[in-house]
Amino acid sequence: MTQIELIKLIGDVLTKLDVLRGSLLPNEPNRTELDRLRKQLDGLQLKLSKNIFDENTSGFLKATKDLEAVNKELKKTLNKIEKIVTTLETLKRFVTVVDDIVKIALPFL
Amino acid sequence: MTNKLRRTFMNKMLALSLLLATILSVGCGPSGFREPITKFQTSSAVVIASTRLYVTELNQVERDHYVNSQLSKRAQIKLDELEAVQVFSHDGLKARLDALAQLASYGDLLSKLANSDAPERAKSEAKNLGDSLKNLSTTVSGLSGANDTAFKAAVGPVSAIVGEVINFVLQQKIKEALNKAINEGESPINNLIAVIRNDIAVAYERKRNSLSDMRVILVDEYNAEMLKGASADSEKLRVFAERIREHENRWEVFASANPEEGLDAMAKAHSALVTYAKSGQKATNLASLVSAMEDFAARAKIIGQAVQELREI
Repeated sequence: MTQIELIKLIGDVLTKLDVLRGSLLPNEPNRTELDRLRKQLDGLQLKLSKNIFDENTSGFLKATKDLEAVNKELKKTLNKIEKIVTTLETLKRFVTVVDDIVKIALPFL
Repeated sequence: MTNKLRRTFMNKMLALSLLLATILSVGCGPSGFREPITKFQTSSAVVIASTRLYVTELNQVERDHYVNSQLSKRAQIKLDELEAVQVFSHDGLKARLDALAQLASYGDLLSKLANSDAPERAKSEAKNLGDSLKNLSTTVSGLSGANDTAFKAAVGPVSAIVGEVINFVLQQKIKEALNKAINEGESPINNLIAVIRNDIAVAYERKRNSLSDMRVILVDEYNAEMLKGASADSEKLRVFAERIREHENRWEVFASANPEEGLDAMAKAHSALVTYAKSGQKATNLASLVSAMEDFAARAKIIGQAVQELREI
């Protein structure tokens, strides 16, 4: 996965996540957690956008493979409001993997 | 012959006539490049203008996103956080805009070379482009951002080849200038387009992110008022609903306003031009060149219209 592909993949998740957030009222308990995760993911996408890094290290390649697997899982429930509990759990894992990728790709940040 | 068959026959004859006219209009020397270069230049101008808009707006998108997000949460706005969200430095932004302007000038110069029988007309343009190139080199040499490395490396080779083209023009060697530009400019020009394309991909994604978040902010605004029940202000609800409607229109148009695709088509069209030039401008290679230019022109038109529409919404 290239840097641009990674940024786009995060973008795809963010837009679907926004549809889910926008379908819940702001005071719903799950909504607060979704907002928190969105903010975190947005910050990570920004970091990846502002810096150039090596896309060919073994650490980066492995971590992006992991992300693809979590993303595949996330896609199954992200557009299903009745599966929000599962979505939240998978989304937390997704954000953790992206955070790991940022740490691997941009260790100086 | 039925009307339908007659129409089909006439359409085929018309297409054949147009193809023959195109083939006859191309020959050896600069005049052979005339039509494809003109189409390349006009389509490039549209794509470059759209790309310029994205690059210009990138930092603004980040600032707006931050301010809107803080506003929706009634949270404090901090200047240090506002500065931290900007993707390119002031100089980095300026250098990319200058490079785009010079790609446009370069396309314009090629068009003049292909269309002009009077080399004097192209000379002043070439001189201006040469001066701009020097300024760009100065700006680029000062860039130190982590995301400027690829851009810096791409500008040098383009400056070198365009510099040589300019020298030919100043010596009024138009055919040599055109051949040099087309035969040796492919790799550096396409590489610069690819680097700018990557910057644009980032700009597009960040803008998509911001517009997507804005969808939720606007829906929340409406829902917060709606939750007041009987005491909800109906005028406010109407205004909030209208804002949602406008933003959803913007969101829909935005999907077709990605200049990244235009830059891809531009690089392909540029390569097709080079292939045609290298083949000795044979009429047999004309069909693929015409097809590449048509594809480029069609994409440029869609993107140009979408970007224009976005500005008007």
